[in-house]
Amino acid sequence: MKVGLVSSKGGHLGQIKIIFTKEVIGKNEAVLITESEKKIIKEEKSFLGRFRTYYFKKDNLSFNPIKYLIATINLIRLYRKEDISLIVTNGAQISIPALIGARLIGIKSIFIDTIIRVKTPNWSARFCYYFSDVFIVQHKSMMGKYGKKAIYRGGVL
Amino acid sequence: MIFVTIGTHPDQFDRLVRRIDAIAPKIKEKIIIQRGFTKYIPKNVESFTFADNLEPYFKEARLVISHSATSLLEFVLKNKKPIITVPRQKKFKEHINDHQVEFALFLKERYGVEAILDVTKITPELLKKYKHIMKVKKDNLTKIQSYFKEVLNGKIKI
Repeated sequence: MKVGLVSSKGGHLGQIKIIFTKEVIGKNEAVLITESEKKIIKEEKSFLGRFRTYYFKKDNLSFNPIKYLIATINLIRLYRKEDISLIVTNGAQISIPALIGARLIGIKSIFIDTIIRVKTPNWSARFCYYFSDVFIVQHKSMMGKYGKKAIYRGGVL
Repeated sequence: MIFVTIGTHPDQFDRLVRRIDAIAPKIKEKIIIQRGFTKYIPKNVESFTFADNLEPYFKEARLVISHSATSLLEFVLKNKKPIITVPRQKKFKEHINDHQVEFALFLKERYGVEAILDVTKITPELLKKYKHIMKVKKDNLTKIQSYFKEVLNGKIKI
């Protein structure tokens, strides 16, 4: 299976990197899709020394429907080009076009809520709740805060 | 060295920076503050706005005082050093919500990491004696990793 890991930079990306080690990916393949302020488009063998990383410009994902639409189209193209069969995303805003894009072309998806959310839900995750096939929270105290679909399967801390 | 970092969040965090600056004359150790978008510029200690890489500061530090963000995770996993977290709070216009307070209290409860909600509790005595090093418990991480291994290997159908 080829998994597309989609995450904003910073703490979100940090959590993806903690979960998805070489051992977890095993014989499967992965592509990392994240953001950067620098003008890089992709880097070969930059994720776990084996997998490609794609970068989106950070300002492409501000609160603007047209930018979201463009990001969705770009992500769909990327999913097809890389032949991705599962999307795992953990926010922040990049998750919205990532999940809409996956749903539009029939790719299964998993959303992981951030570890920083211990008691109160956040708006982008609420939105992602409706567009993901599996919705994971990282604290038991977050179960039931978003809806019945939310599951707890451990977390990074 | 005591390294104080408040991240890249666009709101100010004057409350923490002012407090550190105020008690600095009573502290013998060197203090460096990464002050981000804070408006107040410290008078008694060295400070800077942003850096591409904070790792050298974390490495040099004896103690880190940080806002309670998830970027802490990387620090905690890489550097075995004492950390005190000071969550940004909505009522002081330091963030748009109080999720840092929740996270700080979680780290305190599960890992014994000092969480300071009232900055007057940051005292020269506390900084001098604080030595608690957070050791990451692996149980939750192993659980989520096992889940994803099963998903990737097709044992769990999505």
